[in-house]
Amino acid sequence: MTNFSISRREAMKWTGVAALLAGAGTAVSSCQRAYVTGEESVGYGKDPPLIEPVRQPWPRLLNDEQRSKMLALIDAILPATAELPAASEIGVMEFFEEWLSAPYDDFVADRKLILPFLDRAGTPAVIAGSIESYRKDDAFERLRVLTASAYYTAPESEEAIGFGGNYPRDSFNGPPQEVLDHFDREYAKLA
Amino acid sequence: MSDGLKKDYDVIVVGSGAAGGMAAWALTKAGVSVLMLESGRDYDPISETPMFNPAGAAPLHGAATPDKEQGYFDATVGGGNMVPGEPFTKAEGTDFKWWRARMLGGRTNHWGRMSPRFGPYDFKGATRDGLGVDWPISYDDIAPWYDKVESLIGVFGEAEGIENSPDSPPGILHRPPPPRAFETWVGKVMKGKHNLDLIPAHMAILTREHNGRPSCFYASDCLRGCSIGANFQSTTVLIPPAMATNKLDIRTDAHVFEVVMGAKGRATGVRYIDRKTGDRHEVRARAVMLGASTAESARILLQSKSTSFPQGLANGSGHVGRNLIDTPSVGVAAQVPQLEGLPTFDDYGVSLFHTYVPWWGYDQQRAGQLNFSRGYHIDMWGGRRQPEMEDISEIAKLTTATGPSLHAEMKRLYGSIVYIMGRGEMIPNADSYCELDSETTDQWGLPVAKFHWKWGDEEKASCTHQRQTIGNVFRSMRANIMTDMERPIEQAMGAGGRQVHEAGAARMSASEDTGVLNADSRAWEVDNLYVIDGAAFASMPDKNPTLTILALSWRAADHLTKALGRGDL
Repeated sequence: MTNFSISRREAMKWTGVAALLAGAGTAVSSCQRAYVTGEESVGYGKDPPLIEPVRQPWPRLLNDEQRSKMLALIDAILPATAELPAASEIGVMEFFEEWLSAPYDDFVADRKLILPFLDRAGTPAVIAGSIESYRKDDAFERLRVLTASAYYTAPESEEAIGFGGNYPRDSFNGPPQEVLDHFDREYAKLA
Repeated sequence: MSDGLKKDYDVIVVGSGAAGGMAAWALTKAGVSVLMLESGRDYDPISETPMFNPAGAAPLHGAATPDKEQGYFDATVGGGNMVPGEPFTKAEGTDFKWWRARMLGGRTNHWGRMSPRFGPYDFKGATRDGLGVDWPISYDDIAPWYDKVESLIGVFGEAEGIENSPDSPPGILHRPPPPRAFETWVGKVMKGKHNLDLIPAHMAILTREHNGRPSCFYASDCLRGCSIGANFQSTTVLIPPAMATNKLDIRTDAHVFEVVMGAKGRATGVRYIDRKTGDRHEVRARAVMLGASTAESARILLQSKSTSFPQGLANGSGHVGRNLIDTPSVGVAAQVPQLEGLPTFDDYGVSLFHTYVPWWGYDQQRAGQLNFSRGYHIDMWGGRRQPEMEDISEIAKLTTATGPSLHAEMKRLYGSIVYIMGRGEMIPNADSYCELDSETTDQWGLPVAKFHWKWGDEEKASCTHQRQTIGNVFRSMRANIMTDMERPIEQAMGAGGRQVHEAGAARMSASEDTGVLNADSRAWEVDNLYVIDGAAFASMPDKNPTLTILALSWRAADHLTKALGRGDL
């Protein structure tokens, strides 16, 4: 169940901003031009706020159709399981809104790679069943890596991946005995 | 003066990082009045450090961008390799990176905290093997200041009795933390299969309460800075106590561009640009200490031309900008099967290095068995760190899974990537130097620094050995090496300046014609001008430079204090 609940009115507002930046034209075609050039947006600068970062610091460039396909893709790549939420439930779509509209060269390159892939991917309804057919597509592989990276850098996933947590402690005592025993066994296998 | 500055200070200190912060501390504690001028903005680690924010709280989940080149939450303000309005140029065929911060405390806010002492061999390299030049000082000359610096700032480590890796007197170093999981495993293989000793590193991080600063609490990445003052930053360790003497004034957003000379062949002060208004100011003092960082200090000297110094101030020898050196280094990344599938446990530690392998090859070099003459140390990164985009994406690339099995693979592979790096010594060469660009200027019309760079055969041979040795370690544990081990070594070494250990551009020397500074860090030709940052280095051994910058800066400050007290200046 997605919690990506942007209102239609808000979606229209973002589309309008992208159109303004790209120049005159219809909303859809302006968005397409904007994503190709990405020249109009600026980065967050060399001294952005670290304590309270501002998310989505540049206009979003995805249109509704692209967004629907992205949602289908990211939830096919990392679906909900019994223990874990789906990608769309922990901010991976918001991550892609930022990533695929970011103005820096490497991110523009990702945008140029991934958005045409969305055009070829089919409708949202067929995407989940088509994953195997995408595998040879470099754009899909890039999307897969970014989805996994975004998911497992989301705050909600730190515990899920096995990170021990970032919180103050009185001491650091090294790995537990079971891990040391594991290393002894593995070292013996190298003989 | 119209802006709250005194009419006359005893000393102007240019820069607020390791060199400038240390000099200001030592001078003001001795009763000397100091004006510190910092090019960047004021910065307060206590209120500005994002200690607990996860990567996912930042735009792009904290991924590096041209704005935040080391990731969103890295402490660097206003800089990186690209400083807006302050470009640098490279000669054709040169690859060079020049990391600058523009913040109070400079690069001490985001540095790696590695703090080994230079050893006796390192000060007399030319005497030992004919390469490079000797320093005009020996280890014994600087050792008392190493003791003082370590005692002041707090460094952890142990006394190991290793050749050319001096031990501190008992009671100074803090107890080091135990190795983390990946270090435990790699250290086991290094010792058992390769007779390499992975021992505690010397790190400027507290593991007990010290001078009113608390111990590290084994969380929060030091590269973000530290709001509790548990690691060394000029901004938390040096500047506050210096300010408490009431002898220190600091002006930030003050970009010094020239040392002003008077009729008697002495410096009378400096000129700086107010970064906010563009206005130019001159301030006066009895002495000037340049700690703007290696290439910026050299640039100030080169810009400070006069009829007495047509090649630049204190540059009668022609060595200002010359002898530029950096750490030659290669790294190898590998996925280590024995680190897969581990349970969740606390493996945070101090976030930066716990361990390193000091150079072990002196016997082999004496026996002529190696094709390079100086050492390198080995350090490592990786394991079960707080998730960040770069590390987690490398894990994602190790699998092709999608769906529930991708979840499982990410958890299984997390923590199993290790990066091992060598850090060697560069011999100064005639092709590596910086100068003023004759055409390109910065936003203030000042000529920018132009870099020339070439790795020499010594450095390439060292890095070849580094890569081979590290590869052997990984192969013996059947790790899956991710780095292209066949890449030509010069490409693997990358750009000069990449290690952010640039040094040598106004070096100390035994005579006036072979360097810029005498054994007191004082310009041969200008007796009230000192250079106190890495520019002063006559060599850059396989040991990180900051502790030595601190020691030399304090020593120079003590020398200047005595000269002022005698009325010499």
